[in-house]
Parts: sequence; structure tokens; C-alpha cells
Amino acid sequence: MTILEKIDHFGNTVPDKTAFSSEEGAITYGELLLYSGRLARYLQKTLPAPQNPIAVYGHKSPYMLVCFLAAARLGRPYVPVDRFIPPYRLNRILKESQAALVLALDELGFEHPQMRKEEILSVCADSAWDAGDPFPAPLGTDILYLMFTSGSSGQPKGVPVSYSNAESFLSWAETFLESGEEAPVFLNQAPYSFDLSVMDTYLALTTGARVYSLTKAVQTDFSRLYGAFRESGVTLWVSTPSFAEMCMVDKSFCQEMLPGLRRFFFCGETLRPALARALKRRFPKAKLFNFYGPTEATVAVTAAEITDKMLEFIDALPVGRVKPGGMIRIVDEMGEPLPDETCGEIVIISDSVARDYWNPEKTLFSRFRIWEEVGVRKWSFRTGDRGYLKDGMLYFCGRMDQQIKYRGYRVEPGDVESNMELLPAVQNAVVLPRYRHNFVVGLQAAVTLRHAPQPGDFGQIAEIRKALSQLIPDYMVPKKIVILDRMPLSSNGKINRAEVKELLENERRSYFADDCRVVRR
Amino acid sequence: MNEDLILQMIAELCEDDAVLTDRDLDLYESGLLDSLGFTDLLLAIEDRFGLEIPATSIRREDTATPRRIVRLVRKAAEEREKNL
Repeated sequence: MTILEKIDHFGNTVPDKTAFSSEEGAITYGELLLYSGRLARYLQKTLPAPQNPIAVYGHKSPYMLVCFLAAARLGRPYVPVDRFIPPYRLNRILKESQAALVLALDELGFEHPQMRKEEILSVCADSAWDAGDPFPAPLGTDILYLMFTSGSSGQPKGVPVSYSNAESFLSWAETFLESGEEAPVFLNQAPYSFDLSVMDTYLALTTGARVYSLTKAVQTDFSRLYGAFRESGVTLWVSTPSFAEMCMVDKSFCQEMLPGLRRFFFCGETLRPALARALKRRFPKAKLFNFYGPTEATVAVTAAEITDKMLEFIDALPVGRVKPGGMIRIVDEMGEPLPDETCGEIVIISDSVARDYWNPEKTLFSRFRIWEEVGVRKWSFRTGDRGYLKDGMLYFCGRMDQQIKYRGYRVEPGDVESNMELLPAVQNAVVLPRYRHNFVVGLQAAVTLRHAPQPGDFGQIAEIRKALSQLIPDYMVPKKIVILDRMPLSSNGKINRAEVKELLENERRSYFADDCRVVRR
Repeated sequence: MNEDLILQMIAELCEDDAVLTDRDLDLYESGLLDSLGFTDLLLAIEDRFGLEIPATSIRREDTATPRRIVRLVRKAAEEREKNL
């Protein structure tokens, strides 16, 4: 059965079962089936023929899922965009994806062909849209969703994931679920513009489980968050390690708060042994699983159960074994495979690897190519991640380039830098990660201004941050910003990032009210 | 409880001395603390002063400025004195 068929199966057999609930509302499997059909027929009638993508803008409304499935029934890719993405960036995504329409469950804030929330709800409630021919089933090569990630040029990069990519991921991920669970409830923490959400939501919808989704408001308010956990009945926890780390702060976060919790699935960033140990102590009935994989290979391609034994003997946790049918190869700069226990670039060969970026980069050295080996001919993706294999287990060693993972989100420093350079006050910007105990805790930036630095520049920092949050999401706005009178250059005339790094490390403060010290070189 | 000690702790956590001069600086608005920073703050208070403040017992606004944090820590210290 295809993804849609699986979801529809539950719509037909257990229509009154809750499929999804969040602070923004709840929806049953029957309603999902009915409403997505009605919305699809309406869109079929109103949208022009070319199969351009449909953007879906909102947060954790149950209608997000209705919109995704409506687009899927039409065979059009959907582009999920969470409301934390500011209008400027949203606009760039819409242009890049050439979306025909935005299904705006939240206020868009600018002009664009869209369908407003009231209209969407009204169509979904109208049985007149039930009549019509059945929709043709999508092909494996059709695109299910288009997920945008940070691009180093400042232009968000679109990754098109096909039905066969998604099915390849889901049928494997399903094998990690606890079998025979009576009332499976899967936690959704990630926003829908982050493919981690596919791991919880699609896994739930294709297996008839319930999604218990946390809005950002609940996630940032501890008094509501723990109350939500208590009433949730969550059996499977899917999140970034950072989110779990945050929840650990209160000792009441334990098995007693989530008595049904049996499995943790982590993905998106490094899972630290200390967190794993602490979670096992607090949740003695639960198993921990670590997943790894880039968006380009559909959520994840390797997984490992983190056992007590592993935690005893290992300093760094493995990211696991590759899914059946897939391969991991570690290669050197020339692309030649390296032996076991040697660090090199991680190449993923799998049916879950996307074909290419939505707007392929014009480069001779595409990261996507066909990989041929004895008896194997599949798409592969050169990840830019460093790692090594040992007895079939993959270990992650970091990034080969400047790309940063912060709270599980991919951040290209170039993305932040080019957006900073769009601001009228800023001449050049260099963005680097901020570490505490080897862990990324945020971003920092060094900037030069267009005009000569003045004592009054202290006010600029807050202004820069404010203006920047109109262009990029909050997590990408550097906390610490230092003004330099000029950028240190290396002998070839390029900005010397290493020296900037040193300068930033020596400067403990950003510049705020009352004081402005501009670094003189 | 010595206010300077508390402020030093906040400055180290935020990696910024601005908190030492501006008691009413909104740490969340200015991006010095985010939700993870909030939990780090509670952990730092426990580490530094041995005071356990449950995350559920306070609202985020109670930790928004250095002044409020000082007030919170002092209050928790007083509570502990009373219970001894």
C-alpha cells in the first residue's frame, strides 16, 4: 500500500479515531480523509493546470495535515512553511518553489495568491465537494514534499522528496516501533518545515497511531509543558536531543509523568552520552534510538538502539547501522572508498536519496550521483559530514565545511552572513558557532559597518538583531554581535575567519546601552 | 545573599558583561537567553547556590531581567533559611 492508501485505510476503518491533536485543535482519521478530499477537489477546480507545488503556511493546526494530504491527492508537491519563518524568507521560498498557491492557515502578511483559513475550513465543511472521480494514484517518482533548508548563499535550498523516497524511509522506520501497542501516541515537537516531523507524523498516520503535537507556545512555557506531558499518553517520543535536554531541567520529568512512554527516537543533532544516561535513569521502561541522516536522504538512513552496554564502554555514541537495501561508504577527497575505522566523508546510497535539489546547483560536482558497485546501482548523496565505520556501525565526527547544527536545525553561516549584509548598516559579516563544552549553544557574528564606527554604535546591535529577525528565523539570529573597524584579511585578500574567531573569543560582550568598544586592529 | 555573586553568574551564563551594568535588560528580548538558556539558568542557580527552583514553580517573566533573577534567588535562599 502507498502512503495515501495506508492513511485512507484508517479513515475508512476507524473514522472516529483521533489522528492528531494539538493546542490548535484535533482531527479524526475520518475527517482527514473527508476534508483532504474536499479541499483537493476544490483546488483541482480552481488552480491552473501545471502541477506547481502548493505551499502550506501555519503551525500546528490539524488543518496543516488536511492541506498536505489535499496537495498529495492532486499529485502536487506541498511546501510546508512554519509560521516562525519570517515573511521575507517565506517569499523567497515561494519564488524558489514556484508555488501556485499558499494555503494560509495563519495570516500571510503580504500579497500572494492564497486561500485564507476561513475559506479552507468552509470548503472542508462543504459536502458538495465530495462528488467527483477518484484521484489517480501518484507515481513513485512524483514529489510528496519540498523541504527548504539553509543555503550558504542566503537563498533557501529546496529538497524534493518523492513518494518512493518517503515510502523507503517509512517502511524502515516502522520496524523500530514497539509491536502490539494498544494505544500508540507519538509526540510531535518539530515544526512541519523540519523533516524530523515526518518521523513522528507520517509514522503515526500510516500506522493508525495518534499524533500529540506541541505548539511552540506550550514548548516554551514549562508550567504548561509538563501538564501537557501528563495528559498526553505519549508512547513514542520523537524530538531533537536539545528539546529533551531542556525538559530534563525539572526532576518531575520522568517515567511517572509519562507512564506509557516506551521509546525515544532522536535525530537532527549529536546525542550526548550524558543525556542518554540521564534519560535511561529517569525513564527505566523506555528504549532509546539514535537516528542519523540529512534531509536529502529523507529524514534518516541509519539507526541504533542505545543500550546500557554501549553507554558503559563508548565515549561517543554511534549513529547506527544503515537501513536494509542502503549502503554507507566513507570516501576520501578523491571520492575513493576508505577502510573501516578511517575518517572520511559519509556517502549515502539508498532508495531514500532524493534525485537532486529543486533548483539544481550549476556545478560539475553535484552531490547527487549514481553509485555503481557489484550488483548495485542506486542514487547516492555526498553528505559533507565526516565519519567512520566500525563493524557496520557509523560514527559521526562533524562537518567538513562551515555548516552548523544548532538545536537540530541546519544553519549555513553564509545564509546568516548574506542576510546580515542586506541590512543598510552592515558592510561585511562573519558568522561562527558559539560553543560551550563542545556543544553549539548559539551563533555569534563579527560585523563591519558601512560608515566609520561611532561611539553611538551601541544602539546598532539591537537594531541589527531586530532587522535580521525580519529576514531569518529566530534561531539563526546571532546572540553575540561584535563590531570591528575592519575585517582581518589573510594574504590572499580574503577574510581570515580563523582570526575573526579568535577576536570573538576574546570579546566577551556584545555591545549594549551605555558602552561601545570597537575593536581596533 | 550577595547580589554581585548572582550577577556574575548571570554574566557568565549569558557570556556578556552587559548584565552587570543594566539590571533591567530584558535577557530574552535581547537574545541573551532562550528557552535552553532558561534551563541553564536554573541549573546554574542550583550548582552555584545549592538552591533548587522547580521550572514549573516560576513563570518565564520572573527571570527576564537581572534584577528579577536576583530577587528570585534571594527569595529562594530565604525560603531555605526558614525551612532549616
